[in-house]
Amino acid sequence: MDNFSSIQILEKEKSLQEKILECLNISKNFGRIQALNNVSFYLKKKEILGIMGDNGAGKSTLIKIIRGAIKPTSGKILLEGKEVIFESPREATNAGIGAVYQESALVEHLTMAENFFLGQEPTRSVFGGLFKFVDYKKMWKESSESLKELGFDLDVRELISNFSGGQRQAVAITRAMHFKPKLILLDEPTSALSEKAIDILFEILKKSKELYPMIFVGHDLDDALRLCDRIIVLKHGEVEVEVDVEKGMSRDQLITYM
Amino acid sequence: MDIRTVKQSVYHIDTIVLSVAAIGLIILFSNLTPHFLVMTNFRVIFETMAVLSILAVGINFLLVAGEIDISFVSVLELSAAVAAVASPSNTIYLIFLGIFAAFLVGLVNGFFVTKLGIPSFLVSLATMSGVQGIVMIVCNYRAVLLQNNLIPQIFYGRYFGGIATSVYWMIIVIVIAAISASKTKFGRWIYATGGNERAARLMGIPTLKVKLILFCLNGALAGLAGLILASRALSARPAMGQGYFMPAIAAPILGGALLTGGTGSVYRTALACFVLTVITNGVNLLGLEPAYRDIFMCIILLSALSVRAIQSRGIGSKV
Repeated sequence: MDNFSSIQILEKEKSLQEKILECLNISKNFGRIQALNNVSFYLKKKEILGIMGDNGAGKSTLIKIIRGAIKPTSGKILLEGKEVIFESPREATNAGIGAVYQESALVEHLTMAENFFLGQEPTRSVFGGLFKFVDYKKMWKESSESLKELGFDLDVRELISNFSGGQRQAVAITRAMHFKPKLILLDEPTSALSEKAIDILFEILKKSKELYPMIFVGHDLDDALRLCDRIIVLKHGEVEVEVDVEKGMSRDQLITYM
Repeated sequence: MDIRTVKQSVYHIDTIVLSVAAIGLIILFSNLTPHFLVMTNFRVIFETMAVLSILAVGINFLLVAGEIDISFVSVLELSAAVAAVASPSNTIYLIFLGIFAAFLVGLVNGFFVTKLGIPSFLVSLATMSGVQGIVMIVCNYRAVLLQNNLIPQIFYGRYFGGIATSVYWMIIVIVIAAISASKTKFGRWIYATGGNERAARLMGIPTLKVKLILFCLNGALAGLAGLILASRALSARPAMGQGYFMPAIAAPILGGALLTGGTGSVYRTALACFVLTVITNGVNLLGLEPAYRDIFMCIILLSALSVRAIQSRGIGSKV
């Protein structure tokens, strides 16, 4: 083997390692409607990838497939180079795919701490291991510490309905990070937020991308250009264009693809 | 339970309304009849409250999860009828048969709701009618004697201080239900499922499984209530549980459950059962027709719901 090809192989391996998530030829049909057609993309470590597109472009279908909420008609998902098939969002969470949703996926009647640990409540053994009770003290302590790390000093024992949109989204994001995921999906996280709240949110996200690569799904191009390192635009279920934000095209050029 | 949680539940508007109602009714009936405020009468109140509370606990959980089951009265009758018709026979077998039949109806309800996505009100409306028919056929349209000596001992025997065991069954059910609701993962998942099903599912909570389990549990609890009722009457007959339909749905709602799900409390449901039973008891002692009891219950339910509606509108207007 000559030097040239071994370098090529090394580079290829390196780029494989850097790709934390790769979607290959994902298609999805709902009856006769084709929501996604041969969509391929990847997410590298330490980056925020934007997936943009208008309503009906297939963004939410794509995110549901990655989250395991629905299955693709064809195509493969590779997580750290290994093929994965998720039967449910729970399996995706356990595999290290965290998520933050549009309406924050919070339950109004529960406290902030309970929402923080929704579906992942820590337990402690009682009566010599006979039963397992929810460990509220641990929930309060850990959720309040995690929020403090991101600069939010909040009373985690208050009902979530008493907090502002920005604070609620902060909970959703801290919650996603708390469980040390391999990557985080951000499904239109800014849609219910004020300008000020979006600024704070983006600062947190940019700070955290070293640890958690993210996929930002939305339809506001300005948001995406501020936040993302790379953007792909979906249109009618296909990848229309892929742009490197630093050296790529201008906003006006990009908008023609949407 | 820490001080804040205790405070929150004590100051809860429904707790206040129910406590005021309970005290008010006790004062009212004590003044109207000398037979009300005596030990024996309170024993009677708790004994009659048992069946209602056990039913209401099951309904409460379904309401918290955002569902409802209106077939529980027929299910109660089914459990009693099956056990009575199969008697005389082995006691454990009879108990198993009664509760298992009730559990199966719960499973059927849960299947149609969770697997086919049919609204639970409609599913249980259908099964209510179907099970009523089955009870008629099983009983052959008449009362059937419960020919077993041990079952009445287990579910309605008087051992400790002359109090029927149904009261202990009620306490066991309430305590286990309350602890499960607040202290276990499953309990929290019920609240999350009813509070925001989409969010709960997105966060990996198996919401459909939670609902299916609750339908089965509700069936089994109705089965237990049926065995208690059969033990009290020493027989089973069609329509023996009709009087429980309205109060068993009203109690969880008085206790804070919304038809939209996400809220509800086992303790407050039990408190509401007490209030409703006091009404029945007082009306009986006064020698009034049961029709007055129904009117009384209507007034209580509408007043409690009005207080809640006005209170929540007050909060809404502040925002």
